[in-house]
Amino acid sequence: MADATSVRPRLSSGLVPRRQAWAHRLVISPTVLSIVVLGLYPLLFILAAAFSDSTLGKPFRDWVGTENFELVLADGDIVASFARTVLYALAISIVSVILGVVIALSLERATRSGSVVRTVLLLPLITPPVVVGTLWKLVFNPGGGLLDTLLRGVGVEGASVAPLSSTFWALPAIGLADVWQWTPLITLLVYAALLTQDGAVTEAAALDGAHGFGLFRHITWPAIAGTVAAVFFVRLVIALKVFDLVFIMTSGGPGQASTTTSYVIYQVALKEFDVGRASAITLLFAVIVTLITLPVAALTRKLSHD
Amino acid sequence: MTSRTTQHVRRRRIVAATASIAAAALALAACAAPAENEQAGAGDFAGQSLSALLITSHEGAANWLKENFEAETGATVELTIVPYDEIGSTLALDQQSGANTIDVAAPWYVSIGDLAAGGSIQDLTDWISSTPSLEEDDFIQSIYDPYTLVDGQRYGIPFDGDTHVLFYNKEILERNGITEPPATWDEYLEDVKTITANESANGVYGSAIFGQKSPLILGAAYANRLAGFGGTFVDDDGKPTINSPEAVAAAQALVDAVPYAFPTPAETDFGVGNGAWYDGKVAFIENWTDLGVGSETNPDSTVAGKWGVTTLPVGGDNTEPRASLVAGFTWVISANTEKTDLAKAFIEFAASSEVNSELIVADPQTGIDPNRVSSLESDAYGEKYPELQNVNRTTLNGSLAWPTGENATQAAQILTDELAKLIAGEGGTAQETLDRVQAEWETILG
Amino acid sequence: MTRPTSALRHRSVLAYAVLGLALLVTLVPLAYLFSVSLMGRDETVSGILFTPDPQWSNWGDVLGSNIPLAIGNSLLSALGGALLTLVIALPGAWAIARFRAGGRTLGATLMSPWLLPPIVAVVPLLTLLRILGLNNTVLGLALVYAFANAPVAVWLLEGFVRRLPIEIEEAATIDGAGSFRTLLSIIAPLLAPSLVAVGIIVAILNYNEFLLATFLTQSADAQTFPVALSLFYGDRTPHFGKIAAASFIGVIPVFAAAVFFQRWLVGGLTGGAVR
Repeated sequence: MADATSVRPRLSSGLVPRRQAWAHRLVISPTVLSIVVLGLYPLLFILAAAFSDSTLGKPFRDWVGTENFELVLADGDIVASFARTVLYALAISIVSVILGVVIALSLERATRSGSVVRTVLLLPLITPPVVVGTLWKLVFNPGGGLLDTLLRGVGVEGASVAPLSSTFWALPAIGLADVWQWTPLITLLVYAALLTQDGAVTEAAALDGAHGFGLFRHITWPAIAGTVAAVFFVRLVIALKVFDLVFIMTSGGPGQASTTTSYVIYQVALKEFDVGRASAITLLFAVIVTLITLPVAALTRKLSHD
Repeated sequence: MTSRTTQHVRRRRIVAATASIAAAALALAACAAPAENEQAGAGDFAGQSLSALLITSHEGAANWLKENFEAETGATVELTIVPYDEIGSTLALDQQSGANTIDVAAPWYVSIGDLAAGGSIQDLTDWISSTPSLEEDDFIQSIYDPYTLVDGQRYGIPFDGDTHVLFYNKEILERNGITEPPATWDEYLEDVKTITANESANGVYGSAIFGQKSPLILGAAYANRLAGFGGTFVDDDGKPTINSPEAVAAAQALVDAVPYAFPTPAETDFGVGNGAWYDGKVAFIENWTDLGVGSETNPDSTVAGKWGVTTLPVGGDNTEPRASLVAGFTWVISANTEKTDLAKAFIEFAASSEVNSELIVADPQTGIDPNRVSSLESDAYGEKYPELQNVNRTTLNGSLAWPTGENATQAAQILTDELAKLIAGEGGTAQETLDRVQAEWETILG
Repeated sequence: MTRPTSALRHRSVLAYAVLGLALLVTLVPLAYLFSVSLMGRDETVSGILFTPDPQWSNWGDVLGSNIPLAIGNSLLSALGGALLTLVIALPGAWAIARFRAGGRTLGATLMSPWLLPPIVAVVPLLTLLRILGLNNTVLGLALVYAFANAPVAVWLLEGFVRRLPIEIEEAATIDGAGSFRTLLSIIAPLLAPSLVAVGIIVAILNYNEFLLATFLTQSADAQTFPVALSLFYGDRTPHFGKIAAASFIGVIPVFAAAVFFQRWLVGGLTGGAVR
């Protein structure tokens, strides 16, 4: 069928005349060039600044070699934020993906749900993070927020519940807001992938007696695996960069409990005016992000070319 | 085949087109530099416009200044308002990038050292010493130097005095059998414990403690206690003294009071704290003196006529109340402005005695505290807010100011981060925490 | 179609249950936000779920502030940026998908800036915008957004381009169409649903962006909605009712459009494959 074969790129077999390929490349090169240049310029700036003594008012005052990196790596709080951010991102992404897949499957199964349901499910995704942060800050407000009110309503006595002030619960609370916001993206993309499944294959399998988990494992999952991996990648990167929610909900507190790396960079660059050190942190974090996402990206490519 | 030549021609055309577009863009950008301003004669500013950068809390004052300055000089004033922890970076970025959209600003005084080092603000020493109409000697001296001096040069003139004092809710105190506001931090702790134990079930607490992780907020709560215990951030030579016994005692006093505070200190920033006070939910709050003005005039206030104010408690061996300069703001002129004369005229106006005297009693409240002896001692202030006038007089006897100079903002952030950990129960004891701060401060403040 | 067996029906019930739960979790916080937006200042901190005395004045005050202008700026920068992104990204995606332009490294290079927290980039971006005379303007912000999201758009479009049958392009080339013409008149129309879907996603990312907007649009007339909202927090006595009202007003345009979004998004992402 047209769908099955068109998914596979024909480049390996199809020969594009060499001259034509060059012309094509040239046509689109301004485009690619502009992305590369504009993406590269800040990147080069950060690279250079990391090896310099740069302040917000005076970048590149002096070259200091690896001093910024040494300072950063010796700072226990910053290193802790790396670990914290990575763990946070992994946990959030896994939870989001599982929830997203489950909801997408349910959406596909519940054929009479209609577009209203889909629209409503999409709403958290299109809400600006500052609004999401505001909303959940209100929910978690110890002085009468939704959570506090509900718990008192069911009779929980004692001190007010304040997740955002608890060193243990602050980050999970932010994570809850994060998951609430981004799971619809996963639902959307997986649902779309489910819809592109070949209906005939599924029906045939069902007729053969495949159902439930077996159906999922052998028919559904292979069809969406590539999408799930790709969306896990996107979700992971977004989660690693989380800033707006931390900014609105906790300012990184209490203590260091919710201080993610993005927030550290913000603090060092814009509150301590130290662009050199902030660049060093950004680069170190970039290395970490690459190390983590490389396997995921490879997995994505493998699963989508199967 | 013709297709091949067509490809070549097309390629060449595209390259040529791209090149010419790029060249045109560059040329256009070069021509897009802002138009030069005509040099105006001194005193004649009609038709000129000035851009001023202030924080959200000063928006009322900013509007007042705009109205009155425009009326007086015929110049127009454009206001840019930003949150209080963004003003320094906004100014620095504006100047560094060459955008130069800002002419004057009123940033937190602690940042003037970094702003000066970054070339973002102008050295005003010569102008100040040659302009008697500024009435230098009238500035409250314990405010003047910390707010303006960097390495012996003056980079600004004071705008908003901004000391903290202790406000107390008379009704709540009466209900709990407390007849006098506390004079020491130990008494304060006892009072707070009592009130919270009695009334927390009704949502009323002993005090609101500013604990949000920001130097202007948590830093203020700490600085108040440091001042009370007689400690200093740095000694007269600028060497850090942040792990002295007084400093440790101050940190401990803070930690001790946190469990009894309005829930929760870590989430209590300026707005939450003020809100709790105006709602009558806390007995004590350390706050800027204009809270008194607000208690009387702010439509959200339920405590009008029910409050009192006193100097901050003392502690340890110290028995003299000391003012704590936790969040003052200084007028600065941006380095790249082309309207230096107009800028000077504006900040002279804004920091003048007449203006300050009016701003401190204005309704709606402007959030401005006295910066001059003359405005502090003005009749209007004495009539309307005698208690505030009284407590503000402590500034005349010396006060505790944050270190300024290069890396001062970083130092403030380091202390804030460590204190945040301390009150969150991480980071060990008060002594250990401050030892760490001392070590870091020694490397950056020297 | 086969008649659903009881097993299938049972799974359907489970599916509806899951959906119901998801809907609940989605709507309750939003409903709470709406409820808070009608509360008086002291009610917001006094532990009630909804107010007996709705303060529509909160909404009135917000509508009279610069929030509507900020929302307008947000919409402009979001849509403008998204449009530009599509223009930039489609040729790139096509080149990478069809001709492996730049080999495997180009894809990775394109994506790498997107992996980083963008905070330090504010410094060089401000200088760049200033050189172009576009600092503190909505246009400048739209440009930054356009290039910032291009990698994501390329990455998403790449997949859709691959799904197109190559025979159509080959036919066009044989007919003598140059690459640019092929792109414009053949590929783009075929990809239209996907373009719209990716455009919507990118526009949403732009609308929600906060950090860059804070520093690139300072003044009140250029501010975007997230920036304007964050200023409410700096008030002397922040009024959570007003903040909630401002939040709600800010999302009404996008929520209203969501009805259209979801159809285009789903349609576009399935590439019209469900024929």
